[in-house]
Parts: sequence; C-alpha cells; structure tokens
Amino acid sequence: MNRLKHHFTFDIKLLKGIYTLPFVGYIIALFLIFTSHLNSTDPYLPYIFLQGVAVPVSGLHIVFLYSYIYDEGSKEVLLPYYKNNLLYDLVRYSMLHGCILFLFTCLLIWLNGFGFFDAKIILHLLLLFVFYQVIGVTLLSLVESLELSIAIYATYTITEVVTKGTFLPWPHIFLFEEPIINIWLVLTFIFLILGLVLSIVQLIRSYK
Amino acid sequence: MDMGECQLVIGGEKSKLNIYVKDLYKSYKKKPVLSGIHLSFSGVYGLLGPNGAGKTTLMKILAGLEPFQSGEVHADEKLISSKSYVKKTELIGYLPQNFMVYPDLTVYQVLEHIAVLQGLPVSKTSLKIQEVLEQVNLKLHKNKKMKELSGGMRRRVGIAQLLLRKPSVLLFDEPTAGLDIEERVRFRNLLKQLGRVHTVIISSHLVEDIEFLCDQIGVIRNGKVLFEGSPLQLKKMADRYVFQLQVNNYELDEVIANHEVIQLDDEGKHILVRILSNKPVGKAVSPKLIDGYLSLLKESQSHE
Repeated sequence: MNRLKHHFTFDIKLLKGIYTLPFVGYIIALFLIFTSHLNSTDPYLPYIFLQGVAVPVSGLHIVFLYSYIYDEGSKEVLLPYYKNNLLYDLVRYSMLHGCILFLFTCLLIWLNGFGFFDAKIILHLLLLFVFYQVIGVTLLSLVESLELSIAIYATYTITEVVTKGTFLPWPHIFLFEEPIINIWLVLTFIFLILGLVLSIVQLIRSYK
Repeated sequence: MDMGECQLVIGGEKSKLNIYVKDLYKSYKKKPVLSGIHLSFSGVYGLLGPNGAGKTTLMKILAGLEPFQSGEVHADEKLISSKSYVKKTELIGYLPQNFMVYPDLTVYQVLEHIAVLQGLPVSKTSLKIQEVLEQVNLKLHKNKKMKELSGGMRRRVGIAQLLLRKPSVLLFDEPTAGLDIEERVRFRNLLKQLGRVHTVIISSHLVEDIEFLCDQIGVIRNGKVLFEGSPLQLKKMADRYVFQLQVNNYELDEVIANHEVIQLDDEGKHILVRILSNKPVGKAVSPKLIDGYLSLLKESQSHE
C-alpha cells in the first residue's frame, strides 16, 4: 500500500499540472454527454463521447510518465527500472481509469437504460479501453518523443471521432452506430485485437 | 550458486567481481563496431580509446542496454550473457556520460523514487539515501533540484542512485567529460574510493582520467583491442621513443612543425618539449602513460 501511495504521490509531483489533463478530458466528456443527451434524440451520441473522449484520455497518464525515459541522459538509467515496473504501472492506472470509466458507463445506463449495453458494446468498450491503455506508451516506445506520440494519438482519435470514421479509410476501432453483426463490425474487432497484440509485442520488444 | 553469493564479505568489504568478455562481436547496419573483443575487467580498469573506438558501445553492452551479435560475458566463473544480451544486470551499474533525470525534482525525491523502483520498501529508503548521499558527499544538497546542480554534482547523484542497489561492478562512461578542473579532481578521488569496494570500469579518451587511478588498462581502436595490461606495460610501449628537448621560445614553432610534440613545460628561461619519435631527438627520457598510449595508437595506424 505504501508503494502504491508513493507511486501516485511521485507521479503528481513529477507531472504537476499535466497530471490533471486526463481529468479535464473527463469533465469535457461529461459535458458533451449531457449536452448531446439534452439536444439529441440519438441514444448513440453520448456513447460516442464516452468512446471518443473519455476512453482516449484514460491512456494519457502513462504516456506522460514514461516520456521522462526519453529525456536526454535519462534513457540508460531509467529504462532498466521502468521495464521492471511497466506492468505494475499499467495495472495501477488501468484500475484508476477503469473505475472512472465504470462511472461513465453507469451514467450512460441511467441515460439510455440497461438495454443499451448489449454484449457487443460491452466487449467493444472493454477492448477499446485496454487498447488505449497500451497504445500511447507503445507509440512512445517507437518514436521516443512525447510530442510526436501525442500528435499521432490525438490526430487519429480526433479525425475518427469528428468525421465518425468517414475520413480515414482504415483502421476503424470505434462504433458510431448501433452495432449489427456484419463485416464492418467484425473488422472493427479485428483491428482492435490486432492493434492490441501488436502493441503488446512492441512493448515486450522495447522493455524486455 | 546465485551471483549475489559470489560477493564474499571479507573484513567488511566485498571481494570484487571480475568481468570477462570473450570474443564479442557487434555490428551496426552491417558495419562492425566491435570485433572479437577479449578483455578481463578487474580492480579499477581504464578503457582507453579515441572517439568512435567503440568504448560506449562496449559499456552499454556490459550494462545490458545494447545487444551484440556473438560472444560471451562472464562474471567470475559464471556466464551472465544470453545469445545477444548481458542478463545479470543487477550486478552491474552503468553511469552514462550525460546523466540527467527528472530535472524539476530534488535530489532526495529522485533518489527516493529510484530506490522504490529498485524494489526497496518505502520505509527503508530514507536511511539508505542518507547513507549513499554521505558516500558521494551530497548530503548538503539533497533538497536542490536536479536542474540546479553542476555537472559534477549531477554525476555524483548518478553514482548515488547506482549505490542504492549495491552493484558489484560500476561502469563510468567518460566520467569527467565537461567538468571543470576542480570537479574533475573531486570526481577522480571519488572513483578511487569506489574502487576499494567495487570493480570500476572507466571508459575515456583522456589518459589523465585514468592515470594514477587504474591498475589495469585496455586500449581499443576501431572496435579492436590494441592492448591490455598494467599501466607500466603501457608505458613500456613507448620505451626508446620519447625524447626531451630544451628549446627557446623562438625555436618552438620549428620544433612543433618538424616533430610529434606530446607535451610542453614552461621552465621560465626555456621550454622543455617532449617528443615522440622513432629516431633519437635530444635526450631520451622515461615514458609516461600518455606516451605509451600515443605510440600504441601511432603503431596501430601504421599497420592500417
């Protein structure tokens, strides 16, 4: 418990104001969910904000923290320590953000009713959440630059969400309308699983 | 037997671990960086070589940070490398040339976090940090931010974080590069102290960094070992090649133009010039470490 407390306290000291960014993202997501619920009859719109805003910001803490490895003069010293702690860090931030996203899910159940979350949506949301927990740190391990990895992360997410997947030809990992079992839904799941597997392989390669 | 058990405590001090590198090859984009390296690291070891010789690559390989194509690394009798990586890295601590972590945090906060990352229980960090800060003489600076420290102090923090996990072997890459003369002297003294309890490997292109500090020296150039032995043996490489001339100020330019001058000493009325030469020039003198190193490099160049 002491160790867990130390890690969270240290992260806050290290990141200072940046630490609050994911929480700011949650407040924006909350605002968008309520606004869309009040102004639209489409029950799917609030869920798009959960997928497209709340889930992506949930993966940012780990990216900010691991960016310190790639500061000049740090890599050789920090990398051996961080690689032993990667799983621990992923788990503790997944727990923190998992709890917050669970509250978001409860809010959507309250707004749209229990029937909204069928097995396909639950499975997709879980996969999307895990994907966003690892993709940021994976990009960071590839490009070794916080700015560049955040740029790739944000560009893809924003482009996909704003255009509802109509701009980029592929890969699509979000659900923008009620899922029916067809090739597009299967492809979405394939891209998510493929993205996850490749991310894990890259993380193992970088931090082994 | 676990490697940790290799470190027998004798009279309060650990018996030092020797590292043996056998037939190590490393290439980068098909260009060889290290070719057939055989070295035996023990005591305080100086790894000399010009820039680009492959010293940093070798240090990073020993620290488990870089892969290699073939070869073996042993700690005493035990193999500590797999096919391409040194594995038992908890035995080895590596301090890079430009060490810097978490610039906005204090020395204490940095060490506390690294100690926790190393697996030390949070409750035990404070005592351990005090101990290592004392060893590197930074007790008074523990509340300073990393970015406020001088280059030498920062490197001492680097040593402190290594000492937290008590490695048997310490690797220092160009430890005095960019330090002012006072800090250089202080840092060398610290390395000497560390050499009493650890195997210390110092890589440098500066002979003065390792002179009087090391009991074994290895010289590499273009990824190949040119020499391994004691400082005395390296000095002997320049036997009969070092001469001294006593010249006046106005003669100096001509001497520099015609000979390989390795050192100048202003004696007031005249200047003493040390020259490395195959032919006798002036009075033959006994060689210094730098003379041996330079004649070794010169000889290797002539074979290319």
